Amino acid sequence: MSNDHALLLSSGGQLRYLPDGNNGEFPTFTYRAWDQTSGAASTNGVPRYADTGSGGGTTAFSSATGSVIIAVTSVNDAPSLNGSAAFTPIDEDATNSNGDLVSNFASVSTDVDTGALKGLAITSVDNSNGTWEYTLNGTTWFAIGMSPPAAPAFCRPTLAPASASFQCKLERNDRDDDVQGLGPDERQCGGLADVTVNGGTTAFSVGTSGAPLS
Amino acid sequence: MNAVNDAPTITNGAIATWTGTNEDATSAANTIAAILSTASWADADAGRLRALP
Repeated sequence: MSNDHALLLSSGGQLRYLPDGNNGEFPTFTYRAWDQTSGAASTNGVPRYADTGSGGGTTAFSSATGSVIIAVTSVNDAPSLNGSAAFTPIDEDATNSNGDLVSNFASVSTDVDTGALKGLAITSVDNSNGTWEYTLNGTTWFAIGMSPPAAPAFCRPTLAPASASFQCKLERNDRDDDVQGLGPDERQCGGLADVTVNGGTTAFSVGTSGAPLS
Repeated sequence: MNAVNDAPTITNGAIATWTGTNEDATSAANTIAAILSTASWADADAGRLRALP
């Protein structure tokens, strides 16, 4: 819309705003008054336009402009997963690997919310040939499933004693977690949360992704 | 004497603040007449219609 392409609406009409469902905002529109002495009003399904110029004088349009503003508040949108990321390969004897950053795996997620944080909600682990661990400070490691302290930054597998036929078959399934919308206890990284309700306005993605280790 | 049209007037810079909504909900509908009233619409010509371009 512009002065030379202004939508013409009669006073019987109504206006409303349809948000795109992504983020809060303050949308506006600007208008001039129109006395309908020139141009024709839009009808249902048939928009009509006019060049208002600067209005005033003997024209059909006011020289002054007014505006409308509406506050649209944000609602959390669950993140979504797009693909998966694999762990850095390790030997079957590597019982003190450096682990991989959680951010490596969270990088495959997207979130329409501006400023959304990224994280993982690990929903299952395969410990049949070793143990998955995580650390919050890069030094102290905890087995996944143990009651933890706060904020995981790394995850690593710890392998079972080596043998000639040992095969690493660790696989971690994770669900992306944007942290928003969680209560104080659940928001604490390294804590546990119920992710059975996911998608929509929750903090958890509908999809899950595996992070295989070879 | 022939009548000559006079452009309608509103308060320049008038701002109408609608009732807010959230990103997942369509706002309530607002009438054009209400918008123009907020901006103190006036027209020196008798019988003129209110509308928006």
